[in-house]
Amino acid sequence: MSNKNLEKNVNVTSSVAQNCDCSPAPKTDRVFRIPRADIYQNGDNVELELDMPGVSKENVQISLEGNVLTLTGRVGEIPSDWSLIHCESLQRDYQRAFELGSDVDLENIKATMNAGVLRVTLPKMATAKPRKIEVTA
Amino acid sequence: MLITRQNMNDWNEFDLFNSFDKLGLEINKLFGLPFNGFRANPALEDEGLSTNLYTEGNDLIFRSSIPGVAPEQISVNVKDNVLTIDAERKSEKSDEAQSKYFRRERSQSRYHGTITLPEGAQVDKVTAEYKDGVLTVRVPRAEKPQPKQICVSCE
Repeated sequence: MSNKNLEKNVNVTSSVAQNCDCSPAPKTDRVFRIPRADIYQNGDNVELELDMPGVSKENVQISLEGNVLTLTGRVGEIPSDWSLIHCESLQRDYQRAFELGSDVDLENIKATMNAGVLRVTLPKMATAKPRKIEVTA
Repeated sequence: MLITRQNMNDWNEFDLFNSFDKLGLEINKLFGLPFNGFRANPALEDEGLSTNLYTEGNDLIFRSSIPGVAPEQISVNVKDNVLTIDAERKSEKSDEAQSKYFRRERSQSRYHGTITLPEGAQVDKVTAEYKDGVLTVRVPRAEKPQPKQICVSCE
């Protein structure tokens, strides 16, 4: 995958909550937080890493529509008998979308979730990998 | 001092993003809170923890976002009624991977936070749990101490 393709990745669907309103988002009007992301090359793969603290493995949803990869994380519920005294972090779900380049092998995307960090591995298409061509006599 | 440049002829040199960083620092100072709006400056590695505080009955519950850290790299200490949380995110990537970043937004690698616990906090009963990148510290509090009645005697 060329760097240029990745640089194009954009937020397609997300909107971010502007003020620190910690009440749970109403179900009908979903407002998401944009998780911070790192994108780096690892051998023949490109890795995406997103911070989603409070999201367990079961609550991650990854969907691919055309070449747009959408990552959604639902934060765990706070017990109802806890009352909030001071808030620095929104209790909102995460969502972020990335537009993938044509070099990504869409069939073999893998993802792992560990300690609130979602890692998505985007392998290159075989045709996009550098090949060595033997010279015959 | 949010505005440091008075001379309008200096506009060409005006560094917008640097100013945003400074603004973030000023807001940090004003409120003593982590300011998460602009985190463009890699020098700000050691930031405050993003923590929500809850109560349940008499207990205080601190929930801090510390994504991507091994539990053994988190330390929770209570000394002289001051609760301190420290954690470090160690990079697992090789040097080769480090040099091929296309986008890097997760700059934070160290987390630090301290808070003075209120009166009645039972520091020997503090528990901490780390799950899904969130550290939950529970501090039980004793019932409010009743004022002690002292008899006044006179002869």
